[in-house]
Amino acid sequence: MNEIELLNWARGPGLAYATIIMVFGLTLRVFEILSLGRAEELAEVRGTGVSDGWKMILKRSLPEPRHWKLITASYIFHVGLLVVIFFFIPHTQLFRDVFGIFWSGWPNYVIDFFTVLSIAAMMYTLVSRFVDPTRRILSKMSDYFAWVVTFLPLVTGYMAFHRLGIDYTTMLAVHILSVELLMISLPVSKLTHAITFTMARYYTGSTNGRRGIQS
Amino acid sequence: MSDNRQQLAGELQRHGISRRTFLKFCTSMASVMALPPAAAAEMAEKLVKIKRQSVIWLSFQECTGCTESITRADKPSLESLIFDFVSLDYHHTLQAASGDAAELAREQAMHDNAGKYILVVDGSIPVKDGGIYSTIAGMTNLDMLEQVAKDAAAIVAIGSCAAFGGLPKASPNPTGAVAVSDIIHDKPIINIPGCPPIPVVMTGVLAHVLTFGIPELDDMGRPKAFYGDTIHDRCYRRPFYDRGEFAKSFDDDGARKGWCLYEIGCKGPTTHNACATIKWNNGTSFPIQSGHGCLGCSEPDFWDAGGFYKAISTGIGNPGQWATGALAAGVAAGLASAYLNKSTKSKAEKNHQEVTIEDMGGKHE
Amino acid sequence: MNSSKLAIEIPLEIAEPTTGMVQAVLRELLEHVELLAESGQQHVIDLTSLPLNDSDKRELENVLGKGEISVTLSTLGDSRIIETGINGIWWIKHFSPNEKLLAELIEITPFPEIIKSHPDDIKQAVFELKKLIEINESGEEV
Repeated sequence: MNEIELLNWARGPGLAYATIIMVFGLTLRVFEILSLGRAEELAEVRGTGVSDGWKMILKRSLPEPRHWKLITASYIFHVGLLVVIFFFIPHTQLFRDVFGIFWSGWPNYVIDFFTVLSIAAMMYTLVSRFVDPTRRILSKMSDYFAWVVTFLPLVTGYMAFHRLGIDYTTMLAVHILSVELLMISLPVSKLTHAITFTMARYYTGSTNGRRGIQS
Repeated sequence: MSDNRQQLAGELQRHGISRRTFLKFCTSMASVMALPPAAAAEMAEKLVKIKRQSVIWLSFQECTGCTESITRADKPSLESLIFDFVSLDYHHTLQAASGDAAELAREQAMHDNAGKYILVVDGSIPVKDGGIYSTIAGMTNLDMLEQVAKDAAAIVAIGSCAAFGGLPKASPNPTGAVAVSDIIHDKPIINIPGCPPIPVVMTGVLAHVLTFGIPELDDMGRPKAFYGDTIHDRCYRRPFYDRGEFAKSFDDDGARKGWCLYEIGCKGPTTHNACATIKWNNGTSFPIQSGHGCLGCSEPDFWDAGGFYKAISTGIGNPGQWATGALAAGVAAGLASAYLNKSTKSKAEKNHQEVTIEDMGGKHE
Repeated sequence: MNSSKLAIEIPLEIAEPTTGMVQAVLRELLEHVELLAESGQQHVIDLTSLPLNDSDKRELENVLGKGEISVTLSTLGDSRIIETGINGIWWIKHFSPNEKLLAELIEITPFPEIIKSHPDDIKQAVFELKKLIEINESGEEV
C-alpha cells in the first residue's frame, strides 16, 4: 500500500468505520446510562433537585483555586481542542460535507496559536500526573490511553500542516487515522465524558439537592 | 568522414539538427532535471556517440493522450527531438506499417536488440477473465507485455494508467485493470504518471535513460527530479493557502483575486508532479493558473479519491449517511438495552422481599 | 462592479520580494572569476538550481550589467548570450520557439562553449567547402 492508498483508505473506509462505531457506541452508552434510572430516595426528599442539578453543571465548570495551574492547563487544551476541531478551515469543509452546514473557519495563525498552546497544556497535565504522587497513584492505564489518543491528532495535525517529518500525504493519512482512533475510543473510554459530562454533573447535583446536601 | 560521425551526427544533420541545437537540448534537459550544468556537455557527447536506442512502445488500455502529449506541438519543439535519438521500432499510432508487418517489426526489434531495448508502455493491462478485454493482433495485452518485457533493458511506464492503473482501474474496475509494476517484477520500471504526463518530463527521463541510465526514483518508481515536490509546494498561490485565503466558488471574489483553490477541491497538496514549475502547452499555464484546482491526475486512484470539487479534508463516500445509519442503529440498540435493564429491574423488584423488624428478631412497639 | 464592463483580473503571477540571495551569488561568482584569472578554470552555474526567485534574477542581471558582446543563436528558438559588465561572466538564456525560457545559466569562461565551432564540425566544413567549390566551378563552365 502506498501513501496515497493509505490516505484514500483513511478518508474512505477508515472514516466510515470510525464514524459508525463512534455514533453507534455513544448513542448506546447514553441510552444505557439513562435507562439505569435513579435509586429510589428512601429518605424524605428535600426538594426537586432541578436547580441543584443545573448549578452543579455550572459549578464544576468553574476554576477552583486549589489546583489552579492544572485547571488552567485543562481549560486551555479543552478550549484549544474545540477551536482547532471546529474552526480550522479544512475541518469546516469536512463538517459542511457531513452535516451540510457551513460556518467560517478562523485564520491559520489563530489555529496555529491554539494548537501550540493546547500541546503545551496537555504536556503539562501529563507531567503533573507523573510528578504529583497522589495523582500518580490514582492514574491508571486508561488515563494515559485517553491522554495519548487525544494528543496524537493535535501533534500529527500540526506536523502535517507545517510539513514536518515525513511527507505530507503520509502525515495527513496518519493524522486522519489518529482522529479515527480517537473517534473509536470515545464510546469505550473515559473520553465518553465529552458528551456525558453535563448529564453526569446534573445527576450528581440533583441527587445532592434532593438529599439536602449543599453543593 | 569518421565512423562515429556517420552514426548519429549524420542522422542529426539529415534532420537539420545542428550540434548547437543538440547542446541546447541537452542543456535544457539537464536544467529541468536539476543535473549539474557540466552534465549537459557530457550528455551531448554521449548522445552523439551512442547507436540509436531501440524503443518498443506498447499501447494497452489507454486513450492515446500520452502519445498526443509527447508528439503534438504546434511548432517543432525541443521535446520532440527525442524521437531523433531513438529508433522507435514499434508504436501503433505512429508507425507506417500495419497488421502482420507491424508485429513482425516488433519481433525483429526484440530479436535484434535482445536485452538492450527500452520498453515504453502506456495504458493499463486488463487481467480479468484471462485478459480478454484488450487484445492486439489476437494477443492479450497481458501476454504481449510479458513477452516484450522479458528481454527489455528497462521499462518506462508512461501515464497514470501504465504507472498505477489509472482510469480503467477506477471503481468498479470491470476489466481488472492493473499497472505494469503489478505484473513485471524483475525489471527496472520507471513510472512517469500523469494524465497525460508533461512532455518534457517524458523526454527528460528518456534522455537520462539513454545517457546516464535510470534516474533516481522515489518509493513509487517516479523520477525524483520531476515528482519530488508536490504541486502545492511550488504553487504560486501558496501564500494564499498559508494566510487562509480561499476561493469558495469558481465565480466569487476570492476566485477573481486568485486565492487558493483548496476549498473547491484542489488536490495540489497531495499531488507529486512538476506542473507548477514546467507548466503546460509550452510553458503557457497550468490548471491552477487558469483558475481550476488540481485533479491529482498523477497520483494512484485519483478517480476514486472523492469528488474533484471536494476538499482533501473531506471523506470519500458519504459520512453523513453512515452517521445517520449508526445513529438509528444506536437508538434501536439503546432502546433494547433500556428494555433489558428495565425487565431486569422489575424482575428484581418482584423477587424483592421486605425485611421487617420481626425478621430481625426485634419487637414492634 | 457597477460598470458595464465586467473586469476580471485574476493574478497569474505574484511578484515576489527579493530574498537577499544576490549577495551570496555575487560572492560565489567572485570565487570563480578569481579561479579563471589565476588558473583558467571555467565554471557553469545553472540559475534554476539556485534558490533565486525571478525578482532576484532581475536584480542580479542589473547589478552585473551588460558588456560589449551580445550573441543570438537561432536554433529551435533563440538563445541569447550576453557578456555581462564583468569580463568573463556570461549570461545565457535559452528560449523555445515560442519564447519560453528553457534554461538560464551563468558561464564563467573566456568564451562560451556553445558559440565555438566544434572540431568535428570544422573537419566536416573542409569537406563541405570543397564540395561548394566544385559545384561553383562546374557551374561556371556550363
